[in-house]
Amino acid sequence: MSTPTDLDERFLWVSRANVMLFGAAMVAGLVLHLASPYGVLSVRLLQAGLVLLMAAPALRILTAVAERIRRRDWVFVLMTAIVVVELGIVLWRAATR
Amino acid sequence: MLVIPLLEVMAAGAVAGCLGALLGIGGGIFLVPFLNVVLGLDMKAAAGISLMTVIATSSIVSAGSANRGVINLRLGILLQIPAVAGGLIGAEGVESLSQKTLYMIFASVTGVIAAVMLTRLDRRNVILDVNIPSGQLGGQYFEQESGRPIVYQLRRLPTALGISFSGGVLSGLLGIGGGILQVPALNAWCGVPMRAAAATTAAMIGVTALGSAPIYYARGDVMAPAAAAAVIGVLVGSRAGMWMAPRARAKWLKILMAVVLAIVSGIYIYRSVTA
Repeated sequence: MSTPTDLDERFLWVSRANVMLFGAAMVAGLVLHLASPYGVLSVRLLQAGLVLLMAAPALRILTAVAERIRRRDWVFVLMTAIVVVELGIVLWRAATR
Repeated sequence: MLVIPLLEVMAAGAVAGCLGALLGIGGGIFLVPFLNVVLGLDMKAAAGISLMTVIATSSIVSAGSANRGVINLRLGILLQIPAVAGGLIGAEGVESLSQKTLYMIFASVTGVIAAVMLTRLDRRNVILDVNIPSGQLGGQYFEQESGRPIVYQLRRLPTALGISFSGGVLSGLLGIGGGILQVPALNAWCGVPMRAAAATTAAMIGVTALGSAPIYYARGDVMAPAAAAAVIGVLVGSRAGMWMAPRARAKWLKILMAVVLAIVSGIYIYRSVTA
């Protein structure tokens, strides 16, 4: 049975900080884009925001698995490891396009 | 992109984020038709932007406090194994499909799910005796609506895995996140209450989208300004959805979802005929 209430509370700040980071990068990038469309800084900020955004789910499962390693929940750790390997394949496919 | 289209995308993102967080389906199902039908972006560009909003919605749900007790993370991560594989296959496969084929897939999927939801409105999937074990993949939580603890068991695991894979493929093909299949299937066929299915899927759907999003990004199908505008809209809208989720009645959640899906299906039947 799952025990989700305190599962990754300790690492919640990581998820929240990442949401604030990608949100801030995108707001700043969008404001600069409106002032000067496709300027170097606005493009870099928008791209940084998108990369930080895509990092969010990966951070989420890494922090969850850290908590489960501490609890020695090896079935959960194995399931997460499989997902991490799959995501590695996705990144490799994207990088080699 | 001009100021007014960006504001429109932001507003659409807010609506998509609200409904996505409320229904656990990521919001892409609402945003893709808007970007495609109203703003005239092609399906791949709409899907690329939508995938970013799906990740944003999921990240906000994960980082928030609401619904944390309802999220079944163990079940969620298990279902991501087939979902991420499906996402990669969908993102790679979309290049070989025509717009018309994508419209037909969109219309079929949304129509079937709307019908399934409407035929199972009163199913509760709740074990009334809280002493019955929920099993390895079931769960329990306190339901504000009825004021009592809810216990449920997962049934038909192979079905749940198969649906998650299909949801991943659709996420990769259409950019709608896998929740569009996962939430109704977990609820209707696998014994998971609507609220647990929606909360678990909302928290995990970003991982499914991550199975496709890097491919779209590398392919150049993500328009950064529009994606940022949509994500900022989602940041606002999903907070409203999370606030509404514990207060909404399960039956009305299902009806809302079915009506929205039926409308989207109608739009894409028309587009596939006229394409």
